[in-house]
Amino acid sequence: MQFNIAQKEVTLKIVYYGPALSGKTTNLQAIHQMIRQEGRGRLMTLDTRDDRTLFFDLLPVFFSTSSGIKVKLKLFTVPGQVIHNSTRKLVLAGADAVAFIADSQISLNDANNESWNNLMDNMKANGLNPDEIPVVIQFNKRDLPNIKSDAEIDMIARKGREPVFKAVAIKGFGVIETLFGLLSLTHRYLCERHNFETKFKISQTEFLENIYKHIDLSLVGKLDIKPKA
Amino acid sequence: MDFDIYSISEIGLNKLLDRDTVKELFGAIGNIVRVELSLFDTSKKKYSEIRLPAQNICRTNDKVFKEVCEKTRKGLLNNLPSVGMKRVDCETGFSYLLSPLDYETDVVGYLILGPYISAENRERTEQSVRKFIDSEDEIRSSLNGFRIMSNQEASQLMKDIKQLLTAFLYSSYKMYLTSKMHLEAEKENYAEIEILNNRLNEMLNEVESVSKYKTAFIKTITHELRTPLTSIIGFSEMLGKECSDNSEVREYASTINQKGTELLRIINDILILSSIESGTIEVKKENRDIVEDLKNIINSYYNAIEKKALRVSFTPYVENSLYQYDEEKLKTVISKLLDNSIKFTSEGGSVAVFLSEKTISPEMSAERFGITPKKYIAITIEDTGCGIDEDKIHMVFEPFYQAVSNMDTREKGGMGLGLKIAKGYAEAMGGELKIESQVGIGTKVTLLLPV
Repeated sequence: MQFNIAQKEVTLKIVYYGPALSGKTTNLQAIHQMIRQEGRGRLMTLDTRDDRTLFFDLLPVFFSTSSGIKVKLKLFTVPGQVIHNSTRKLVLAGADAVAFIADSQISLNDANNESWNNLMDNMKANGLNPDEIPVVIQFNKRDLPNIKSDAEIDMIARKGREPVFKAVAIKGFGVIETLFGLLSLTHRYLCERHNFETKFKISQTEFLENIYKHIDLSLVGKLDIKPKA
Repeated sequence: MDFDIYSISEIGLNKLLDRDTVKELFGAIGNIVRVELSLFDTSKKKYSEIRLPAQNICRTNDKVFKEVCEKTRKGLLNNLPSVGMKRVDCETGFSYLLSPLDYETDVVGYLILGPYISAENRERTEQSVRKFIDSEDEIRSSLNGFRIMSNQEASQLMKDIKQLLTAFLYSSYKMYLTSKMHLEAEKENYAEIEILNNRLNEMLNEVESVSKYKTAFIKTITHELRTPLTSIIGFSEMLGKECSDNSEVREYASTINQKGTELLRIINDILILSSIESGTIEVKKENRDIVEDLKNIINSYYNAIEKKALRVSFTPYVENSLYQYDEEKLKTVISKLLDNSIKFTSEGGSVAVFLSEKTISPEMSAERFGITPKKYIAITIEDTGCGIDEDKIHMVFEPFYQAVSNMDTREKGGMGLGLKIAKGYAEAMGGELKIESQVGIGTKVTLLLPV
């Protein structure tokens, strides 16, 4: 968390992590399309020749609180490919929360595990405690065939402390739920860790409502984001 | 509502404007680049000449202005969406409006104050209003919509407003600069990322082309070496047959043939290694009988097994021996493994080959996302050879590495490519190669191939 006293600005860094082509950028694109212009900035995305994220994407989401503090959420994605680990480590530095976007396809189980283990390693390398930092898991691509069943996902949810969400990011389903799940965890974490609510006078309701009011929920299910090749 | 006109500069912007408006203006990045302020003395001019600052209601004709006069109190300005007005508060005598537009096209904000009537000219104003409006009540009510000030009051007000405006402009400009700075910084970041990205792509292209060049070079060279070798091997064999009565020539010819075959095998290995490293291995699966194929591979080692008096066994634990796999690659992997086992097992030792089906289940995994149950064919080759040191076992898959000492290696032959090739092919087929070993007891290598 960064706090700029002169500008009364709090910046939170939220990282979308996960295996290659699991839909991290799509999540950001969906959020970008669903949040009205006054509540967000430009989505910076640098696609490479094979459509994969090589560096990172960045979407700023912001609002001002009644106490006059400007809250800025910076949503980042990391490149999923195994070889880009140094970039992932760099983007993860100073993260306040992580959304892990897993691929629901049964065949991509190993890729999910590998990326998850990599996240744990990179958190430790960045001095972040994997047992404390807010993390949610999203099982994306629920519309595809050959995916994990809901029962299997429930079993995986019971295995750890992270809340689990299901999504079809290209249509916008589950994207906002994931973000809000993560934001409420983040608020709680920041209160415990940095006394956030007392210091900045931002209650959890205000924190979430300020973003919620900019969201056009009528778009859920109507989005049509082209998945990467 | 009683509004003290002189206290504007003291009230400050926050109180003059309601919180929502301020928030709207400042909340959405708020690059206010223009603040317009107008103050009118409506009494100095004829009604028809008065200009209102908003674009669409500049003086047009008396009829329009009559309408404006009539409706100002009811918030006419508020009803003109094309002007982009947000708020008109007629009760206070001041209509102010702020219209933060889309920040992406730079916000333009207006602060419009007015109009007022000069106290000195009140009567004249009333007269001029009478020309348009007949009803006394209406005249009174429309004039009530204006503040009445003396010229002195008005000039004081102008001063106050100027002060207020300066402060307002200053803070807006500061905000504008800050957000512009942020924007510039983001642009710079963006440009920097793009440069880095391009450089990465260039580097990637360079590395790819170098690697392609290397692979092409090795392929060409090895191909060129193979062609003459085929002649050497073929003709030495013929020479041996032709001169079967001359034992010396026959022996020389046999040595040439043997060494030539060895060289050909090395060249083939290098060729395979280069395609493993360039990732250009093609897997061609077909339905085959794995038990039959394994038997044939083992039988091809008959001479070597005989020579060392090894005990070699093959035990298939499968009911159905039909599987889909790449026969050529499987043969290469198993041959490389058998080569090693036979090479490093001393006379009288044993080599055992097992074939079974394995399922790795989700319960066996501590992974966060569990694992998908997978079926594998497992081919295990166990020998009673010299074994590999625990600290050297992770090195055996490195090319040109041999776990035994140099003296032994020379005696046993080989370049140390066998296991590297076996692993490369196993992985190309979607499987894996596992090795366990104990010095003095033997080595166990397992090839797992997905079904």
